[in-house]
Amino acid sequence: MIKEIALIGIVAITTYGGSKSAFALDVPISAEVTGSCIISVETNGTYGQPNAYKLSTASSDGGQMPVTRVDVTLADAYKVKFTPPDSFSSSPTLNDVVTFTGDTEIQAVSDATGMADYETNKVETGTVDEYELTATGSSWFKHSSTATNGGDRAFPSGNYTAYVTAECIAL
Amino acid sequence: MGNILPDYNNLAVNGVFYRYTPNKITEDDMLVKVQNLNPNGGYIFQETDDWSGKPGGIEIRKVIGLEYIPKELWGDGSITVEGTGTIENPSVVYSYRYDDNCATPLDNPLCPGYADAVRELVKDETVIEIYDALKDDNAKQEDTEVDYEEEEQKQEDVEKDDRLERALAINEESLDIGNSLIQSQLLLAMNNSIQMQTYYAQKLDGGVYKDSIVLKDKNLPDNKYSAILDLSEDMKHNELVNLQYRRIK
Repeated sequence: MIKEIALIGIVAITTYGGSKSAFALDVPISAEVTGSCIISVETNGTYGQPNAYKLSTASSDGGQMPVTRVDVTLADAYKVKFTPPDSFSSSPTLNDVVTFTGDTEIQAVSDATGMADYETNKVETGTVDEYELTATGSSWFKHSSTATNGGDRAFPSGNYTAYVTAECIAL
Repeated sequence: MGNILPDYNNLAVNGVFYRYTPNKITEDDMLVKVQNLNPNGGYIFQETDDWSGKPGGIEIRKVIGLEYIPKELWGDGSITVEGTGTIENPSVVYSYRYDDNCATPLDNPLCPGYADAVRELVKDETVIEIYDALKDDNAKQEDTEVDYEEEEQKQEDVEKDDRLERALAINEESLDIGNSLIQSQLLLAMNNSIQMQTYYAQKLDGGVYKDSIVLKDKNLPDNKYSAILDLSEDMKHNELVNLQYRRIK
């Protein structure tokens, strides 16, 4: 066993300086940033089953399109991006590869002049749709989704859930 | 406007919500005006949507907040279209409040006598009609339906008995076949049990071995010379280590 003892010299150094007094004041600048872009679900969607191997949100297929509402309080500050589902978040064990298709369309606006062009100016990248929110107010978007089981095989019975992703992105 | 707004005292409109879907070609000019006449002249409310150069088919939903405009100033409402195009599914909803100067104390918690009126309301004994199922024609009809169900149940029971007899007959045959196997398994289990009992029955002679030495707590002081011993051991160790670096003469 080795023990080493170290002696440490402590030198106290004091400095002297002339005493000076100074006054300082912190001037606050505060800001409150509220949610300028709010996404809310207006209507939940449901899949209808027009045949054994297809699930669809179209009302003609017995489904219900989900509707999203986006409120912005600043114009030209945000874009909203919608990504339709490309897989089920929950489902029974699938027996084949499922192909997803999806789309987003503007359903309603709160400003005719500023928002009526949203659908025309939509940027589509694959199934992802982006809208530039150029006016303040509310806009409603409806989303369609279709899932088709491979080989026209029937979907296994059970509960299925899929999600549309909505993102508000600052420009 | 009297047909739309209710006939309450001191009613004032504080908001208008409207929606419609324009039908038009993008290139066409179109103005849609949602408005209410003012009996004193002009319009008490007017909102214009300019769809010129905009595509149709997109519903508009608009909420306009107002500062409590008295009902008397609200004349007939209309939606007019200027330019080329039409509208579909129009709807206008008015938001309002009213104050009838406490015509009844329950109108408003601030009305005099509100607490007493509420107390009276709570005390009020309402007559509860007791439902008599025997006098209910629907219940009688249900009773006959129950009879039918009982008969159906009896028939099902008879069928079940037949099925049970057949099943038992089959079971008896299968039991005969499996009987010898079950017997042998039972015997095996019993033998195992007997064999195990011989182990369980054995006892070892022993008892309790109590502690014979008891150490009483005492104060054990530190060894004052341990530090010197430790240092001497360290020095010896260092010396031995340093030996290997010395030159051999």
